[in-house]
Order: sequence, then structure tokens, then C-alpha cells
Amino acid sequence: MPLSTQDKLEIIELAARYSMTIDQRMGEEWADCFAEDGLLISGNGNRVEGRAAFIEHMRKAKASGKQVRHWGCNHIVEGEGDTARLRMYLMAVDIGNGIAPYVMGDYDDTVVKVNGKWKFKVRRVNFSAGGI
Amino acid sequence: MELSASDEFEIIELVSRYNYAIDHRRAEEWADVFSPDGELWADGKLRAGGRPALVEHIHKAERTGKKIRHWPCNPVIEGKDDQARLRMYVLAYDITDGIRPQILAEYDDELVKLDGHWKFKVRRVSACGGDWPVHVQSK
Repeated sequence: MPLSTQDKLEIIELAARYSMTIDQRMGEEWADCFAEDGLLISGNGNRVEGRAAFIEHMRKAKASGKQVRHWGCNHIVEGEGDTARLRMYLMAVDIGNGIAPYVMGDYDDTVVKVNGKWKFKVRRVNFSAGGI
Repeated sequence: MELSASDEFEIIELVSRYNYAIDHRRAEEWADVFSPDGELWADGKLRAGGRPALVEHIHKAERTGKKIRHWPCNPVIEGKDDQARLRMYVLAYDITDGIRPQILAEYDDELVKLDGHWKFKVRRVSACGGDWPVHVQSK
């Protein structure tokens, strides 16, 4: 069955929760955006896999002291049943000293519905400009 | 009949497809977001009308070698049945070398639903600030 508008809105909201929790350095809440076996693959080749690794990744981000905001747009959600593909743009902005965009890229994600909630199974980001 | 939430969502997703296709220089995919007689106007001038001209518009953009990313916001959608009006903002960045705002503009579009799918019939964009990308300036 094709995804409903409700499903698509929930997936877009999942992407927003991802951005807000990563920016606020909320490790547990950020890990909640992923399935138990979730995987994040960054354009620089970094891979983060599994809940414990997500929480540790966020602990390191917090320790770095870097202040960042993730902006998203151009969401395209396609899929059927309990599996979806989400594509969207990303712009990461360094707000530690002024407002400086430092990365632009595209996400191409696999999202799954687990116990009635959409979660990232694989989040892939490719950088179009800048870098981490 | 008033537009449904599903109609409005599909129209917003059409904008995403427009932006993906133009930014990644996918000419046929970009032409697909327009009706067969679809038109693109910029600052009151027709820039491309009909599928072959729309496809060429992307090829021309590709030849400039510029990398652009379109960032939309503030969609306002009104309409009935199989016709809609979409107004929204766009901020386009030049990412050829760094990340630099290129142009800020407003769309005021006419859309039609053809065979169950929303398409741009007329896409009108007007600059508010900044400069048009080279392939638009030269028309």
C-alpha cells in the first residue's frame, strides 16, 4: 500500500527531530530517531552504527563545544507499507561565532516503521559543498 | 471542491522534485514537473515554454559549470479541484566554490492536476535580491 500523507508527514517530522536533537546534543533522543540496528553513513566516510555508538557520537559532539544548526528542505518521500525512502537537502550552519554555513549536502535515507513509529534504518549523507 | 491536505502535500513535494532536478541538472526529470505546455517566466520574461525548451534550459545551466542549490520556504497554496496557485520564497545558493547566497526570489505559480498528478503550468519567479544565475541572465 502506498504511503499515506500522514506517513509522509511523520517521516518529515522524524527528520526534524533528528536535526533538533543533534543540535541540542541530546544523545538518547537522537538515538531514538534510529532503528535498533540503525546506521549513519556520512559523506566523509564515517559510519556510526547501533544505539550505543549513536550516544557516544553525540557525547563527543557535545565535548567538542561546536555549536551547530541543521537545516533541511526539499523533502521527497516515497515508499510502500512500512519501508520508505527519504531524500532531502541539508545545510549545517556553525553558530559558534556568527552564522556560517559550512556544509551543504543531500540525504538519501531508508526509513522503516517499527511498532507504529518511523525510524531511520540507514541515513546516508553526501556532501555537495564544504565539509566536516 | 477544496484542495485536500494530500493535494497540498503533493504540490510541496513537486517543488522538491523541481529543485532536485534543476540542481542536479536532470533535464528530463525537470521537464516532468511541468505540464506539456508548461512555461517558466523570470522577471516577466518567458525563459522556457514547452518540453524541448525546458530540457534545453537545464542543458544550458549545466554548460555554465555553476553548482546551485535551491532552498524554498513559505509555501501558500490555494485552489479548487484540479487547479491551484502556489506562492513561495526561494533562496538559491551558489556552491561552486564555497556556500554563497546567489538570489532571493518569490514564485507565483499556476498548477494543474493531470491524470492524478500535479504539474506546473506556469512558474513565475521574480527576484527580490541578489543576481540571477548566468544561464538566466543571458536570456
